[in-house]
Amino acid sequence: MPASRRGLLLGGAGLSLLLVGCSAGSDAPASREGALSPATTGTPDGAPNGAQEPTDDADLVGTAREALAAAATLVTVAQRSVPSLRGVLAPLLALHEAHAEALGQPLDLPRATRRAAPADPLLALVRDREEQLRIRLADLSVAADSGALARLLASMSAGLAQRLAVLPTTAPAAAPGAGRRGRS
Amino acid sequence: MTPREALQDALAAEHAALWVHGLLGAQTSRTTDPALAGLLDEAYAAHRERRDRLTELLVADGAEPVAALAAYDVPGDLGTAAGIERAALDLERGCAAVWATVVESTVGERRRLAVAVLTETAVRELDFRGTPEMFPGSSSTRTAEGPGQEP
Repeated sequence: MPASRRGLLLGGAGLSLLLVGCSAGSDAPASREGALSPATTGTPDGAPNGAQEPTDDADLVGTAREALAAAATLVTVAQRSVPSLRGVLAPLLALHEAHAEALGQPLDLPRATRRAAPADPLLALVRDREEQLRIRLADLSVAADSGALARLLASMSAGLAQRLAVLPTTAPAAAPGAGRRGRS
Repeated sequence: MTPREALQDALAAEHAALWVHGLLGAQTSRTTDPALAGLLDEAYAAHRERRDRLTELLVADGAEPVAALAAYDVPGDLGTAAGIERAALDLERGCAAVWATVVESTVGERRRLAVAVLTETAVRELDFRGTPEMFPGSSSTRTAEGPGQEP
């Protein structure tokens, strides 16, 4: 259905801009030279760009943290923007928090700005970014020098795959009146 | 653990998984529970493919692939669909842990294969009433819903 597909893509583009705005002032770990982020590192299908691969495990962990923080930021934006997504996305955010702690640094997310946003395209954007993160974690696992770190990253990727498998493809219907409070 | 030992352990686990999944499939009625029967068929095919791939890798290394045992311990309570699902879930979780060790013990394309299999196995757990975990394949049993994995 080209019309709906186009609408989703346009919605996704707008939401991407919204996320960029939210991330700019975040307290997420500062980008380090040579480190990667999902938005800039991979090919469209998620394959890594070899020229920008982390050179050691310390860089690799930093890269994973940044990727996690970016994904978690979008989740919080989606939760604040669409009340019906709060519960749906809560386990995903908990997963990211657990993974960030396992990498040695709890998530420190900015307070997301609430915006009026269409629920289904936003959920689709979240799903797309999470899939990119899953692939990124798998690639980082393969690249790790440490076997233990590789195992952790692979497990994180697998856990995300499980979570994506149970994530709804459409947003639950909002309760009457839901989402009005505080919106301007 | 050496890469070869990890691959041999994975092969031993896949032999066991094939045997047990075959048993579970035989215990499942395709008439009254076609969905579960179909899932067990898919799992059986996946484990067979992995067994063959592991055998190829070990032979390519000049190793003698570990052989399947004549029989394996039979999980209890296979008289109900719930019992069969539980046995299948335990099997997949065990395989996930073994493949996580392969991830840890190998490098390059073999590690990439192990990462893919770990992910596939983790997702397959959900077919058998598994719940998403924070760290599939690890000794941790935390889930998004709280500690433990008991249904």
